[in-house]
Amino acid sequence: MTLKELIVSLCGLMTVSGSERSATAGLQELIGGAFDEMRVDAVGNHLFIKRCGRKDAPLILVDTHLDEIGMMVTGIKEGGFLSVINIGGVDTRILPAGEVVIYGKEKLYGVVAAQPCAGDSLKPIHEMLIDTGYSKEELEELVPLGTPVGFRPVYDELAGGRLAGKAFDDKACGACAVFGIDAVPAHELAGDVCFLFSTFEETGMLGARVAGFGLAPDYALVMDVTHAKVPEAEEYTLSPMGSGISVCASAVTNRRLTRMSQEVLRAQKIPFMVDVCATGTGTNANVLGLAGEGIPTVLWSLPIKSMHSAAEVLFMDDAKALAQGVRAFVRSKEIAEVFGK
Amino acid sequence: MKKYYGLDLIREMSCAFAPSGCEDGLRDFVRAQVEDTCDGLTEDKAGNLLVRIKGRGVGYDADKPARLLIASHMDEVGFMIKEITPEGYLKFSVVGQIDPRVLCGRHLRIGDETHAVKGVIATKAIHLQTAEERTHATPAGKMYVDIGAKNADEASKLVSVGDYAVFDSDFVTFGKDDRFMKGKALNSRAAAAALIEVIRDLHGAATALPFDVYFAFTTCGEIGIKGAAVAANTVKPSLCITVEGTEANDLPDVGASSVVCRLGDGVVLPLADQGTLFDAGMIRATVSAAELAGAKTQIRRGISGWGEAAAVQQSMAGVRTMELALPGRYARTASVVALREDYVTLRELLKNLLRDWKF
Amino acid sequence: MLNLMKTLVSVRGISGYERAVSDKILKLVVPYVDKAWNDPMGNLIAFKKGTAPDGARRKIMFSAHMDEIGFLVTHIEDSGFVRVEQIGGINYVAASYAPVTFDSGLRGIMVPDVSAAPGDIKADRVLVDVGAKDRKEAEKKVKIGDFCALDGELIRLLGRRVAGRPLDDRIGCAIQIKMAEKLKDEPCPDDVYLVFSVQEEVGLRGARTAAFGISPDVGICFDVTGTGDAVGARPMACTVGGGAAIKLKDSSVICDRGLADELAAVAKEKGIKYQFEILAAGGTDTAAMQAAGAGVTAGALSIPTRYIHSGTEMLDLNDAEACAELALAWLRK
Repeated sequence: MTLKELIVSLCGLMTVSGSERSATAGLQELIGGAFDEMRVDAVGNHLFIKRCGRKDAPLILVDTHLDEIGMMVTGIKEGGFLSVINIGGVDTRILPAGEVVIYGKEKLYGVVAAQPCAGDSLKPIHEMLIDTGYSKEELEELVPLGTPVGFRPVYDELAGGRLAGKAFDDKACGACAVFGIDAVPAHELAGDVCFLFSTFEETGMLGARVAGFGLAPDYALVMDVTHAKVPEAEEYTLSPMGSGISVCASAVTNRRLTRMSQEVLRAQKIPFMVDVCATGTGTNANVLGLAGEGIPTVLWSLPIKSMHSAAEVLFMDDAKALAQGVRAFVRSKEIAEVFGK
Repeated sequence: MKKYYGLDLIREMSCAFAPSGCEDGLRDFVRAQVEDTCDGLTEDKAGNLLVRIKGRGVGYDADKPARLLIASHMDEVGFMIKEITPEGYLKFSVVGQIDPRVLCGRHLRIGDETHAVKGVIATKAIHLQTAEERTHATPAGKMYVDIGAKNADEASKLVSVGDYAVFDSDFVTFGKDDRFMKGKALNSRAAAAALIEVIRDLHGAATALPFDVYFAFTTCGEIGIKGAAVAANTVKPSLCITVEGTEANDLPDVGASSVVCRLGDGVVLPLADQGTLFDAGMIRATVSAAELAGAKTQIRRGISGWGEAAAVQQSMAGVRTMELALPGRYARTASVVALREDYVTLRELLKNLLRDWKF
Repeated sequence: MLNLMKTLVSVRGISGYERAVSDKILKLVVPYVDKAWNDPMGNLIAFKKGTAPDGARRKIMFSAHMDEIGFLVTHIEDSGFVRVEQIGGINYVAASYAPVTFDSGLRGIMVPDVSAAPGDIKADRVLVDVGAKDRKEAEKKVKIGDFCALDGELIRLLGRRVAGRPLDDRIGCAIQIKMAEKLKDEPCPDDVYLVFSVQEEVGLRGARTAAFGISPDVGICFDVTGTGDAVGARPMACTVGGGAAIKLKDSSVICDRGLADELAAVAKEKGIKYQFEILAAGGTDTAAMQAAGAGVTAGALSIPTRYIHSGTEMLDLNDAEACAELALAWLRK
């Protein structure tokens, strides 16, 4: 399977925050083979472990979050419509006339109603309706309250090695992590590697916090998407696409680990740029560094456009750089020497 | 070309690349669908396709045949690329009336009917939006399409200013027993598909008509220019039926008194729109014919919208005109929703009207 | 349950000062459990050992918070009016013109700045009138740093519905006391920790430390939830009288769906009235339990309540009893 295929397969799974367990079988099938062990913890974190075969080896945590934003069914209306609430920060601007999948007792297709009305205001999400083509009575049978609703997975290849689709945030990084880790023979790993597909990032970074506490790794690489440079948000510092890995400089991540990780990238001629998130990263790096007794953490990001929409765009070259970066990171004896036990 | 029927025909029509002014590909498709089953085919200078079914019935005046025009527009709403930015993005103008609220994040095909590249209408990530931006639609003029190009040069190799774009939306059936259909331009294309199926039926029908029927597949119906007016001038009919898509708003948050028509209640008969008062006699005759045939019809409540009919009705010395419409939700979006049985009702009602002509 | 609730609303326990409530509950619960103690934060933890052999018992934590919203005196005006700061989120409009009681027993009334339009009644435009002629007289009875709260009371409405305050979350406390009573003679296989938590209204602080200390396998919270059946309420498929509300989500937590489905299955099997709850705004101890330590499977059984955080909350005791019954049935499953 190519990296692109893995990205599309992983991102295409429905993993709306709180429903990550529904992806367990799919994950096992797609990436389970790359690891020695897999387990799911009390909150739905999916942990994949690849052992280096040495005793007392350091434990390296590679974290990307499994959950994606989406919706939850809150009510069933006359005429076969559903009302929903957002799970995580859903961009309401992309919803009218958008296509969704309702993961009830059966998988149903739905269209977000786009009823013309005066003015230019957008309805809040809890007033939007999803058209299902079923009657109210049928829906009451098929769609229990709380049923997750996800964007319909549609992936388009754009020009120049760009890919458009849903939920690159953050399973595209997950795919890069798996690719990178899988590329390293076990005995060449700098330690035991725990790949954490964490839950509830979109709703408050809960998964990484509790997993960090439970695992107490020696050091951690967090990977998440970041905003690629776009014309209408010039006021923000954003990473241009095509710059490779966006290495985050921040007060909440470990300075030395960040620097060493850059040296590793430089040595391997893997393209990267430094991205500044001075006092907060908006990612699991915020909580992992402070989990348990503290975990030295570095954050690498993948620049994407239109984050949290059903048409996020990523650049395959950046993703490839990220996968190569992971491979170099988990092999790095230098980092393991400094941060391992 | 392969002949398509029923749902497959609707699928092909819905997925066709044919925004207003760019109907050639779809016209060729329609021509191929009907050329073996008609008595004459012409293309006029406005790009309309006119398909003739000759009358053979009792009272047919071969020298001066009476003519009935049945018109349906081929075009859909879409976009025209007006600028390639230095970063390689595409700015666009909207072709037809599209609510800007349905644009963000949509997938597009850009180019023409023979060659198109894929793109998405970018949306500034929710994290970067201001409170105002989160609650108000971005004007279309501020949006742009991302085709993956890294700069203007790369983009220019793939797209030119003046290229068209349409929603990239596949045809889906869904809901209980797959009764519902979703696609772009769905209900107006399904209306045109119904015409194709009626032509085929009529051509082989035993009951011959005492007049000629011209089916017009017209251009530019979505932008108010109305190729239909030209078709009417060419055909010079004494009666006209426009067959259209019409917007249904049967949603639970729309008050029952504001619902203009519903999916599942059959063919929509508007009494009037913003440009036309439809012929009352034709409507009455249609309603009774429908009752006799057991076909569901509904009178459209409300007089919004502006179809091709006005142009035809007011052409030449005036033409008695009525409209039959297929109800669809979320008109002029990437995801129009219509009901399969409404399509069948429309098609069968048209067949019935023509086989047993009452006007 | 009515009498128990009357007892529980009669004591005051503003966040951080829950001792009186804790003492009252301790007296009530101690005869039923193996052990009960206060932890360093002030949480009251009542423990009932399970019947399963060692190593086969799970740790189940229940949590209901003892604290209520109230006010802290920040300033006394020359005119004798008392300025207060809120502890926990309150609806000032609903609290306006309601009687309050201070620690000292002093009574007063919450009054808005009379020129304020209802929409403008916010923290800085609400004071307490204690009847003082001037600042000097007021200072004899109240000082900066004192607490006051809207008066606790409970009245019976039609059927088994009651109104008053603070039903949030004394009703949860009442449920846990009832559970302790039932567990006394009929214990369940697993170890049960009934936590009467502190400082929920200011950020779920008590349950967080309690959950860390207990490190339970499963955590279930009892708290009130909003409903969609008050006039003008935002649509919500949860009603007073609709039974125990199995929480799926509130603004602090997305519950474990497996646990929620398990609870629903038990309710269905035992014929206990239940409904699902998705609360748009409001947080609960559920979130604190879920995030404790290395993570806890967490859920909540909510008591549908109208007018939460106003001067008069309203609920149906049948719903509360359904919550207790469902929790017990689930424990014994």
